[in-house]
Amino acid sequence: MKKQFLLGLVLLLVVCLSGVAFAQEVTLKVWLMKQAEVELIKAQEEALAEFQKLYPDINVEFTVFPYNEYRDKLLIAAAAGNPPDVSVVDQIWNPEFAAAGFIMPLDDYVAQSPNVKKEDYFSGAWESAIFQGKLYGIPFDVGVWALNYYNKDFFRNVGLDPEQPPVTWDEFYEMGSKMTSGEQWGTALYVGAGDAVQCITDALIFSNGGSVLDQNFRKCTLDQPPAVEALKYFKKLQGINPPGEVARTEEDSFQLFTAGKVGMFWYGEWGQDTVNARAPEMDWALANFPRPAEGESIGTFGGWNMVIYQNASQKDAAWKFVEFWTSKEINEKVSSLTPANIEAAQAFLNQKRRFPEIIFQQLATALYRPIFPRYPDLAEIQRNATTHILLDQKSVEEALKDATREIDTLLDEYYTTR
Amino acid sequence: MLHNKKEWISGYFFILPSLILLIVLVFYPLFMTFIYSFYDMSLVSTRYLGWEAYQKLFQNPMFSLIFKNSLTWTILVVFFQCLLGLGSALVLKQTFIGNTFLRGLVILPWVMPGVIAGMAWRLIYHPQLGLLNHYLQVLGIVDQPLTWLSSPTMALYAVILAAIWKGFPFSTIMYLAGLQGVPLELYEAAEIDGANETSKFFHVTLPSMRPVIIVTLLLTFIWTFNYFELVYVMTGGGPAESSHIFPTYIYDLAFKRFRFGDASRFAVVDFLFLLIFSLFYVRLSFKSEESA
Repeated sequence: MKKQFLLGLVLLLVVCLSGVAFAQEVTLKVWLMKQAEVELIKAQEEALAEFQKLYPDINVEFTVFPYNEYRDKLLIAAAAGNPPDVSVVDQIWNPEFAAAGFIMPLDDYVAQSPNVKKEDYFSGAWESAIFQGKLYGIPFDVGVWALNYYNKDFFRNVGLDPEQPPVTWDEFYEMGSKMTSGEQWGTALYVGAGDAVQCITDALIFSNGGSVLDQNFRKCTLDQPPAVEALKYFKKLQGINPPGEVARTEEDSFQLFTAGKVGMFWYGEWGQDTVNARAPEMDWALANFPRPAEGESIGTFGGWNMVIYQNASQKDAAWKFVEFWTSKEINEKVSSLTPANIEAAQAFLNQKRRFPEIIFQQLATALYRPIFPRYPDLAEIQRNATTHILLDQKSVEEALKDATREIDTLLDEYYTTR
Repeated sequence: MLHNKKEWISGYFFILPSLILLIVLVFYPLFMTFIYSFYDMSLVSTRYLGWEAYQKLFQNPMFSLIFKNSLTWTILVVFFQCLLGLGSALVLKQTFIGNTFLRGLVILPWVMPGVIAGMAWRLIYHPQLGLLNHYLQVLGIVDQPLTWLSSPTMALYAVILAAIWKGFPFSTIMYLAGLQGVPLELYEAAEIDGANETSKFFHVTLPSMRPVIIVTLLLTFIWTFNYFELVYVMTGGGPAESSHIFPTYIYDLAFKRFRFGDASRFAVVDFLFLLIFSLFYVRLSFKSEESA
């Protein structure tokens, strides 16, 4: 009798305890970029409430950082073994995080997921998350470098039709030279400190049928004719641009555009609000990134992917959140840039941007930057080559040959020491 | 005796908190930087190189450039800050109407955050919208705007000018205080001996201010050598890495490119250089003090 009683007690205990285990709540730490817009913060809160309705046992804790702190904070946390469970990362950090072993491949989750399908996302964004054959992130939002913003008054003043913006490289240069006097210029180039200039030169190279690295990301192809021609064209644009471009950032050039100093300006689609805010009177429009006479207009992708960390204790819960946050309905509401989900992007662009078709077309064909864990080093070599070219310190061929040699050394160093 | 020992122990307890802070925040990172400097280190791989690492460093053309830039930058900035500081201190020592107002005004560049000063100077140098080019053109000194910050030969000097402006008030204040400390009797004695203003300055003012000048020079040298914001905000080390100095290049290596090993090596050289310089300088100045 006593034995039975004891057995019963133990059984009861087991049932109770496991019951507790079933209902145990998990808490996910999610890091995102800080948003300035009140509307967007509200949308995020609403979306989160919806998620918690769907999964009452998953708590989500958001931590947000402004862009300039974000990378440092994330890397320090990850290197110290204490990263969040889920975060967004810039496309160009994705391979680095993967190679460092911070984040986990998501192929198995995607294979079983009824909701996350490759074809729902811009292909350039999806492929930016693939490192050595495995998928390490789900695209969250995107942007494309670059579109051609132009001031219609500049066209009218020199007798050009503002409804016929330049399509080819030659047209862009010729129209730009007509706008160039001592006080005003066709466009404003920039070399800056961030990655914007690489996005522009890459886009010129892509449009000319070239690439920065070969298909396997093992050899640099900057010394090949498509890249050489592209940089020669970039150099030519110096003639229709105000002096000082090597010390200029994209923001400085943006100011020259909104101050009415230059007629055309290459920037991403997210710059529209800034143009309207800084130059509300300006009669501006948007056109595709110019293409070579025999080429296609191809931009460079930017954007953010959602990743799950190796250290995450609740990987399944983390995946549920990623799945939810990148779904069409939610992605459209909680993203400040263009959503990476194609359907969500269409709705977003139609609602929030002028010239949505042009932007969409540019996004659909855009390519990602080289996938290499030491991309920041590679980008710095590219920037130096571009600067040497613009400053006439080296010829285009010479600068790109040197850059190719340096990048090849970097690639060899990385692949042989691993 | 026992009582004494107790006191001795409790004394250590009192300094323990600051000792721990020093170890955690200063000595440990310093030590680790030395260790890292022997490695080729990034987020994705770590490889031990040993002394070969330093061989690589000294062969790196960037190293000699950075060293040259840092010396040019520091010597010019410190020299002109000293000159300007001494000059302005002599002016402000005089009594005239508006003296206190001017003293307040002079300190403005020094209290301004470096980042803001850097951004203001960027605008001043702006080739299209900048004040400097505007006035140079109005006065007919140049007919084309000069691109100060985008020329590899001019960029560093343009920042040096801004840095002299930014930091000289510190020297002014130090020297002003030093001037107040010169005993008036010395001037009176010099006057009786028939000294004019120039010889009073060289034979009374300067020697009396020696200790202040020595300390100020040492401080400004170390600060300037390790001054980060102005160069970083104004040129970012560009164009084409031509205006980098030690702190900006170390930052770029470590936090933009995640080459911790390379960054540590530069940091170690930076540290050792300043250490040796300071020891040498302090010894030298004490020695000459004794002989004086």
